Order: sequence, then C-alpha cells, then structure tokens
Amino acid sequence: MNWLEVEQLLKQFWKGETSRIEEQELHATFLRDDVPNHLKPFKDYFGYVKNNKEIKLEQPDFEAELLEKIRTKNRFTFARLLPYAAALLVLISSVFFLIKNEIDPSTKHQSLTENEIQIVQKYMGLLATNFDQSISLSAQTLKNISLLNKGAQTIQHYENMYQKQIKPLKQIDYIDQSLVRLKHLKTFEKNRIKIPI
Amino acid sequence: MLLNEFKEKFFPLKNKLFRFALQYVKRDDEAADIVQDTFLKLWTKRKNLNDLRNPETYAMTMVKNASIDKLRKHKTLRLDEMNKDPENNHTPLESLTQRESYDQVIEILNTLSEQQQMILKLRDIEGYGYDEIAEISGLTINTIRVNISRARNTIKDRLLKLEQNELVRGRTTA
Repeated sequence: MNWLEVEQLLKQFWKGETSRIEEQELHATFLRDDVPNHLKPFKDYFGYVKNNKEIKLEQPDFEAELLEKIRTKNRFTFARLLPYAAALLVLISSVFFLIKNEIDPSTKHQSLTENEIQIVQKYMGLLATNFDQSISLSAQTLKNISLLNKGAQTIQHYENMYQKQIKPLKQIDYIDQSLVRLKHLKTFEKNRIKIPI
Repeated sequence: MLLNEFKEKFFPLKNKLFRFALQYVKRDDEAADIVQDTFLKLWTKRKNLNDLRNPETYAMTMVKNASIDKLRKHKTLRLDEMNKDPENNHTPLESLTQRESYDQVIEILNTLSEQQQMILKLRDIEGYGYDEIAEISGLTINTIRVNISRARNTIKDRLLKLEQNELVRGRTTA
C-alpha cells in the first residue's frame, strides 16, 4: 500500500468507515519508521493503541489462585449436600434396623421367663381396660357436647322467633300511643278558652 | 461445562477483560479483582455458558457492569493513571519525546466522553466489530458509528492542532 492509499484509508478511518482489516493495516503502517512528515502527528495515536494492546494482567499466580477458588466453590457445593446425605443415612439405617427386627420377631421374646410374660400380660390387660374406659368416657363427653350444641341451636331458634314477633308488637305500641295523644287533643279542644273578638 | 473446557474458553480472555476493567477503575489490583470475580461468576453459570451466542462479549459485559459497580461503590473516578510507560528502548531524548506525545494522546482521550472512550477502546484496542460493541455496551450500532466518527475526528483535529502549535513554537524559538 503506497502512502496515497494510506491517506485515503486514513480519511475513511477518521469517519469510522473502515473495516477491521483495513484498520489493522493502518495500525501496522503507522508503526513503520518511514511515515511521511505530514502524517506523523497521527503516528502518536497508533502508538498509543499499540501500547495499550500490550497491557497484560501481570499476576503470575492469577490462574492458580482462580483455580483454587473454583475448586473451593465446588467443595462448598458438596458441603452443602452433607446435611441431606446425613439425613438419608439415618433414614436408611432406621429402615434397615426395623426390617431386620421384623424378619425374626420370635428372637425378641426368647429371653423372657413365664413369670415375666404373665406380668406383661397382666399390665397389658390393665392398659386395655383403661383404654376401653377412656374410649367410653370420650364417647360420653362427645354425646354431651352434641347435646349442648343442640341446646344452643334451640335457644338461637327461639331468639329469632322473638325478634320476628317483637316487630309487630312495637307497631301496636305506636298505634296505642297515637290514640292516647288524639284523646288528649280532643280534651284540649273542648277546654279551649274562647276569646271574644 | 467442565473445568478444562472453561479454562480453554475463558482464561485466554483474561488480558482483554483486565484492560477493559482497567479503563474504568484505573488500578491494576482492582482490575485484576474484577476479572477474578467475573471468572468466578461465569463458573457458577457454567451450565448455561454453552447456550451463549458469544461468550466473549458476555464476559466483557460482565466486566463492564462489575467495573461500574465498583466505581459507584468507591466513587474513586481517577483520570487516566492506567497508561504505563511506552516500551523503552530509545535514547533518553527519544524517550522523552515519545512520553510527551503519549501523554498528549491520553490528554486528548480524556476530553472525550466516557462512552466515546469505551467504544473507541473496544474498537481500536480490542478490535471488536460494531455488533459486538453493541452487545457489550448496550448501545445501537448507529450510535456506535456516530460516536466512533466523532471521537476519531476529535483526535485528528487535536493532533493536528498540537502539531501546528509545535511548528509555531519552533519558529519562534528559531
């Protein structure tokens, strides 16, 4: 590319009408030592761009540190699962223990003597009796509660009836009062003093 | 996504992400922290990373947002401290001249709006296409074109002005 073409391209560059490839060519051209004097002022800008392209993240342990943090993050994810894993383990152990006991129930009573079994039966019987009594008491209580409910419903019913009947009675009251007033008016008419004109 | 695939796909972006963060926070350590946080966030989203159309622009957007958040938190917007010395294998006089012209470019860039600076850096330094810049910045392609054109024209005019001033100064001294 001769300098005339470069100048042409530069004009387009200032207008923002150049492609990326053309811009790369321009950048490379302006880094040359033989830039004509009239184009030299623009060399500074291309030099600045070149220098900035070379700026690097200069931390030798950057990637290692980052990888370590990523791994810690991963470990943290696993750590968050630990409570769930522990709960699952407890659940599995409990199920396993229960199943194991269910398989051979006779082994549980092998060590009990005749006397012990009788005692257990006696107390189980007592427990059953108490349980029955509790159930019958509960049933009685429930019956009483339902009776109370019925009573409350009846009271409500009578209250509603009373409210309905009290309305017409109030109206009769008003009529009675009106009649008494009318009577008073008539008496007043009769007793009025006539003033002579 | 497995760790190896993640490493292959994202670790090579670290310098780009770093430069982009540096543009906002202006401090190497803060920029490096932002890049590291971004990688960790990406790792937590690893299940969805394969569905992304362009993971690179996605990472750049994350860095942009994280940098802006950091700036908001610290409110330490410092002007351009980020630019390191240009590579130095010149004589002291040449080096001084280069440093001066380098600083002049930085000064010019600092007169541009933050949006223009961001777009210009994404295009000229990182070499992104307009569609990719649109994805990262959340702006329309048209806005990006207009901003690039304005920013480059400002740079051109200021550079020419500086050159003219230099010439005038040279003549006066002579």
